[in-house]
Amino acid sequence: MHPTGDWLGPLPTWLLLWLLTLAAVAAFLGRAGRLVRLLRAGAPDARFDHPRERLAGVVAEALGHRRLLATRRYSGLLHLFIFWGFVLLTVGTIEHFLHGLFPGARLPLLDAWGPYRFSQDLFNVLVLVGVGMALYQRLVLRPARLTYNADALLILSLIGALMVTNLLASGARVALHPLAVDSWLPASQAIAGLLRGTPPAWQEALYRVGWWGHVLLVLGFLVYIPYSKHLHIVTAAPNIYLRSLRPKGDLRPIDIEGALERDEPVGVSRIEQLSWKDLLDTYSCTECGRCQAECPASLSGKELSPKQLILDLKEHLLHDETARLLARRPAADATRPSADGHSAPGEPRRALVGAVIHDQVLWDCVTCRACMDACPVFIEHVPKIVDMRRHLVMEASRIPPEWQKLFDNVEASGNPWRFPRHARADWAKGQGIPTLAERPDAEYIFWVGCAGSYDERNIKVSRALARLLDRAGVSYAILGREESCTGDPVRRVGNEYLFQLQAQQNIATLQPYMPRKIVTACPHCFNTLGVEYRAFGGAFEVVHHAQLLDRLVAEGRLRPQERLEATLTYHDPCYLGRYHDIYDPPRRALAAIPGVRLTEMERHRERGFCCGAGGGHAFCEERTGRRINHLRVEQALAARPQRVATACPYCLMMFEDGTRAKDVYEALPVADVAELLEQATRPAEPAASGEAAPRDAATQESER
Amino acid sequence: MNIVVCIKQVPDPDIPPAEFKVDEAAKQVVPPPGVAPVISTFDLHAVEAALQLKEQHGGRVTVLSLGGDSVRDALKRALAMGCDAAVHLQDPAFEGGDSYATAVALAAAIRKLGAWDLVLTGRQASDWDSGQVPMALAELLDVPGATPVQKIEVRDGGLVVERVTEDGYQPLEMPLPAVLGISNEINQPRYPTLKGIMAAGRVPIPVWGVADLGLTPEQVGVRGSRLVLERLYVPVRESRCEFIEAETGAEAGEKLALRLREARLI
Repeated sequence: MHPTGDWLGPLPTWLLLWLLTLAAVAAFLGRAGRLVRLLRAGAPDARFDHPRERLAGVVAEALGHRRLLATRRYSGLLHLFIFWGFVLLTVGTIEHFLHGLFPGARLPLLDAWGPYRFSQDLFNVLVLVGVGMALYQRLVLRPARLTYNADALLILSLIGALMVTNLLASGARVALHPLAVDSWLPASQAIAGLLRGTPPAWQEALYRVGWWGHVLLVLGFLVYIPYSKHLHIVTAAPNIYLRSLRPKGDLRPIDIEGALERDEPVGVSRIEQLSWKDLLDTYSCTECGRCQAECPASLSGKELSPKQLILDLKEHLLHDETARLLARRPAADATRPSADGHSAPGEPRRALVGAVIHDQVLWDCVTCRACMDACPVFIEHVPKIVDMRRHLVMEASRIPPEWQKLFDNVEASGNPWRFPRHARADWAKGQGIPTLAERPDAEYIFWVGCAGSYDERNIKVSRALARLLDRAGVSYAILGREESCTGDPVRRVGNEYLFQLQAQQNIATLQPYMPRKIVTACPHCFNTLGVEYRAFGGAFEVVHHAQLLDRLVAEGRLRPQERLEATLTYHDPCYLGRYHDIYDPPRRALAAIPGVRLTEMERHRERGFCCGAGGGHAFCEERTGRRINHLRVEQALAARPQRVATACPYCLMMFEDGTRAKDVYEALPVADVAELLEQATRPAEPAASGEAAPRDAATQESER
Repeated sequence: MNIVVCIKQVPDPDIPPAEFKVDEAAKQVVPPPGVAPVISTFDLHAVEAALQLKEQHGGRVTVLSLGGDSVRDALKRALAMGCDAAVHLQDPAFEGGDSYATAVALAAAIRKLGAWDLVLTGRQASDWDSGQVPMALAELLDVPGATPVQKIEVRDGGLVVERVTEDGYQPLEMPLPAVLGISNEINQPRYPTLKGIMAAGRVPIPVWGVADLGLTPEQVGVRGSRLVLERLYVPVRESRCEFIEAETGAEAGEKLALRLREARLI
């Protein structure tokens, strides 16, 4: 019995199979070639370094489904079945085709090997289970994150039909021609069992229907894949391999002067100004919506959905711009870069920024990175958003007024609120806190940051940290008036130019004091000083105060003794947690306080939820949907803590604003890790009055 | 359409009130340290209005400012926003001038610039809030003037503008050339683009003194002023807080109303 051993009219069926296969492969390659040529229209991006690390990521994330199984396990599991089914059944498919194309051909070794046969049979069933779970999710559970379209249902039906036809062919074959290896095929045996007693001609017909049905479905699938969201089965693994290995908090620096000299863009306003990897990201999106389900903007009812952003970019690339990007340039033109860098000639059919992606969508982002950490295929949403914001700010000048004000304030006064520069160190007056001029041999520079210097609430944190450093015997000093905004908020809003001015100024200020370590209580300053300044010549050793305090407690230099009887939940600041993987030090430092019982909010650590202040939003009103900080306070209340701790000045401000709005300001006190540790390490009241150290006099003074 | 915009640099109005100080003896505002002076807000709206008119109708926008060295920053900002040229009026003789003396210097500079169709200023400067310069300029240049203006439309070679009034607006038709004092309702000033910032750095800004304008020191500055400053001081403001106590909200409301009536506030 051979599936392609007969004739269809004048045509031997093996020849028919050849023709169909070649046509399908040609169609696939034609479309794939077009997609690859489109990628090449994107801007350059070096993504081929560190092959070992990249490969390890593919193993863990593609083969191991690490992210897919970390959360939303139901989806992860069903995908695991389907994915591994595809991997293993592809071998079977090759065998299937070899068998049909070269009558008599067999895969060497595998054919009679029981375990291989078993894997085929098993995964036919597991994939069906996976498809069933997917359909149940899609039709009954209906999570909001999914995109409900015909494409998904068509694909699931195709996959299901592939399995059914394969099982039918296999079962009929077992019934007709039992082999010794068939004991490894329980599912096929079961089908054969059902066929027992039917006429052999029926079984033969069923075998052919199953066999040819499977072949035709495979070929149809091959043609359909590159037109559907299931392109990800081809691009996901490469996309994971080519993922960004740059430090997470390091936005792409721009050579501003060079760009202006060469008349190149400083932001992204055309699809081809995105890098080829950005374009590959759009091919890889599976519409799973895990990004959207973690996005504070989406969850609070803003226009931004990271999933829709990527899909809109894809739609724009594949429908509006393909013809323009693939148009052949005149030969003379091809050797010379076009006038504005990476732009193809001709005008886009629709404006990328404004029409395809609305300005507000870009502004809604808090740059918290939750989407990127949730994405199973490592799509990079935030850099694209910031690149387009750069266009809005530096090229188009379409900027919300509050952020114009922010720029003016940072430029005029070195802080986001336009407090006078000379008042920057006023918080330290009378506190016995030395400047570098006063303590030139200090081991640490205490980088206070704008919030810690000017914001009444965060001044308390700065003072608490200073006292803790004193108690632990850490030699530190502040810069005083020389310190200026690191530029984090303006960079994230898109004003790279102003950011670089601030960076240059601060690097010049810090450089003469090096080598020294820097400690800061602000995760944004921590990221900017420690990671982003490197691109501008400032390589500094920076620790966040949560890390330093944790170490000082571990070393016994800080001994928390004062009890704090409280159930406490810790809110992960995005720029400490997701951006720097610093989750444990603040928790350890808090747990060291006697009486503290730590409890977690549902969204914590890698899944932490932004307070609403990131990406410049500390300085801009939320006008649509709900307030992100109110959502976060509700999430905190759900964990039933008595207190909230955090380690970021902006999280602190947003949280307290939220507890006030929710009328739980008194009931749910919010504090920085440093404040709680400071209270817990206060020296015991001296027995004799008047013996208190001068520092503690200051402490009590400031508490009033 | 060639437009001249007159801007004034003022102490940052957004500084904390405690930072604002005057030297009563010298009758001068003490510039707050550590905070750069800025372009007066209404003047930014005037620059924006000029740029929008230029975008619609073509022409050139020249920006003009009178003051000390720091004024160059204000002019550069206006250039970065998109103005084509800038002139800095600087001369010791200009110092201490009132609105009229300033208008005399500005009018002379505008005449010297030559071909112009429209002069825009802010409706008033955010430091002194006098609001005299636009109408003085119109008088000195002998053209029609209107202020405060919230909308400008070019029609049949002339203008149709809307003047802000207490209870609405007043539409006016006027021929060109003209002088308009611009109010903040008209637009949202733009933030300079990167190209604008870079280009502004390369534009030379000529400095014109009294002699360049064909004026004498007697006509400008303190000596050309008609206003005499008697005294400059920060008024002491007293505020008191009074709690209305009552059992219920309704009762409190009633008591509050009575108290306000008593204080002749309602």
